[in-house]
Amino acid sequence: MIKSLCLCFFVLLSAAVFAQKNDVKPLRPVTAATTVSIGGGKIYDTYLSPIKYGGQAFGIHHERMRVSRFGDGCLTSQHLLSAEAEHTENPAGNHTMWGASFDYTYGMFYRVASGVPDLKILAGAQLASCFGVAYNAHNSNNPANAKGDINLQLSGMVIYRWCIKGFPVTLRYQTSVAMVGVFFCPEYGQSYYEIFSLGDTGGIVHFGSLHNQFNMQNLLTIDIPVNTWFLRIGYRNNIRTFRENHLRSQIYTNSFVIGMSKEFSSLRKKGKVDNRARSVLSAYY
Amino acid sequence: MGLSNFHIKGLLRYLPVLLLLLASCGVEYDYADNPQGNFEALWRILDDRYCFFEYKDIDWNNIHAQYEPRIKQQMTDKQLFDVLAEMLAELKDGHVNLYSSFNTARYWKWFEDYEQNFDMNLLTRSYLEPGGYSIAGGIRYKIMPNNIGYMYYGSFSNPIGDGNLDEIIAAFISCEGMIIDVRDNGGGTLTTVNQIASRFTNEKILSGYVQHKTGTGHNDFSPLTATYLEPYRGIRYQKPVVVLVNRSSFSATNNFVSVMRELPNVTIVGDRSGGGSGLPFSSELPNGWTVRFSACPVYGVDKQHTEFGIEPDIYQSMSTANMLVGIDDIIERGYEVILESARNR
Repeated sequence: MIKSLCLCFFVLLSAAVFAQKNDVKPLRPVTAATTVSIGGGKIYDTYLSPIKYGGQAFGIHHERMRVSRFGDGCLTSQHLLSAEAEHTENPAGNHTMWGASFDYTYGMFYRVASGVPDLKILAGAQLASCFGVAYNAHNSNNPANAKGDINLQLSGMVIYRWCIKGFPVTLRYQTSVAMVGVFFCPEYGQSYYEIFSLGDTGGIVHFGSLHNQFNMQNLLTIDIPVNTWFLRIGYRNNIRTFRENHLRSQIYTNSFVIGMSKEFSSLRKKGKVDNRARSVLSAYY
Repeated sequence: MGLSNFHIKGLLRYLPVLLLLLASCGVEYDYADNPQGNFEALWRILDDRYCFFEYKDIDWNNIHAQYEPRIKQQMTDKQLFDVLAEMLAELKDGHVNLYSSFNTARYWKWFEDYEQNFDMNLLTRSYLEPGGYSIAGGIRYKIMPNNIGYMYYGSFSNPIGDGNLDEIIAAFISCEGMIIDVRDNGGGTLTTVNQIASRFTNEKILSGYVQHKTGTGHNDFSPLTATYLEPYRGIRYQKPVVVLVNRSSFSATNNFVSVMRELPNVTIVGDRSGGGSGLPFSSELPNGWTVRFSACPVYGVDKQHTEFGIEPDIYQSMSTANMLVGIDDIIERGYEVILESARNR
């Protein structure tokens, strides 16, 4: 009897250990990338000037991607944080307009089955917020125009990984388009004195959709392994436009991007299982 | 399945060129940078954004028809500037200017056609006396021998701190009254108007209205937004106040007069103010010339425009004979008003 009980206990224990081994969750490393961008910028803001300004654009960007703990490995989250500035001049070259913006975007993507092991196709939605300003020092009571919007975006991403002489190179293209949201725009001839000093804030926040705004971001990058990190180079295109209250605002940047990317993983041993024994669910590589 | 190494190497080789091409998109222009393009741009900017067409009964289309034939492709910048300046003068607005590197177009008839009624040299020599006055935040002030406080504020662009006003009002607290001289003050910041005026009211009062354009039509305006003057939460002046005004009291100064005339202890003395009640915006032409224009009309409490100035409570001009002997008739009249008020208290 005792032998039978011991045998049963041993079988159950073995089953429990086996089940525990099967329940070991895969590692979900964070892909973090920090890049700087430099390129061309264009500002057209009819609140400030009917003339299109062109010049340089600079930015710093941080991106984090990770496979979500939910969704059985099919969901990937992405955080994007950007600060971008434009220094532009009018065609006559005697006036300067500055642009500055800060963006934060959070996105959740579903990995679509591609049938190719090295090809990731992601489709999802993003909640994007952007706050900034365009500033023209030559103007009197309309020297600056504030920018601000919060949008729900659709986004798609394709990541392809292949090897060149043993070097794993990763190519990524991502595009995002704002679908619905709200944005700030003063009335046609409204001064900021009225908005801020007199508190006349009616009619400055607008519903935005493709009928009156077009915001789009395109990102093309190649990651090349260097030691334990990756060199990331690429092209970044940012389009922010709206048409409201008889005013038009357009900010375009086309930039060369360079930076570094790395995958991070927690060193904690979950369930006393060594990390090396766990499978890896990488969001990016 | 997948890209071959040949394709990948080719892509990598041309990638920097591709990236640079993508990053160097050019700038487009809506107006041609030539005399015709600059003329059309200027006319259109004002047609869309200028706020006094209806009030001044100006037929802007007729102005276009009148000036457009004078625009020639071969004309020089200075010739073009002169024609554009003449066209802008049709608006009869001191807030309308065209700025180029060689000239500034302006309409100054609102004070050039009238007596100046102010002489800074006379003021300094006969009243303030060199070294005999104090300066606080752009305000020159002094207690005159007849125990009347006097302050001269030459520009609403000169910043003033609340501490400056505290000191000036504290200095005048035992005076019979005070004179605020804003003659030749061409304006500046509207917030400074309220900052000073708030020292002379004990209750919140309606101080005027403002509106803005909501579209490109000449009558596309927002509803009137009421503006209020709230009392300063600190030291305020309770005795008679006289504001001295001349034709060069323009823009924000005109608004200051408009607000101050609503206060019970205040008397406006001098000439009609210069006007300029449109909050000016700026824009530019394809050749880089800057244009300034009235964009948002500011009204008095009676909802009437003050674009062409405000009548004083007491008209007073300066006589040449008295000026020659160092007497400023407008200041002297201000003294009389304050002393009379003091006698009647």
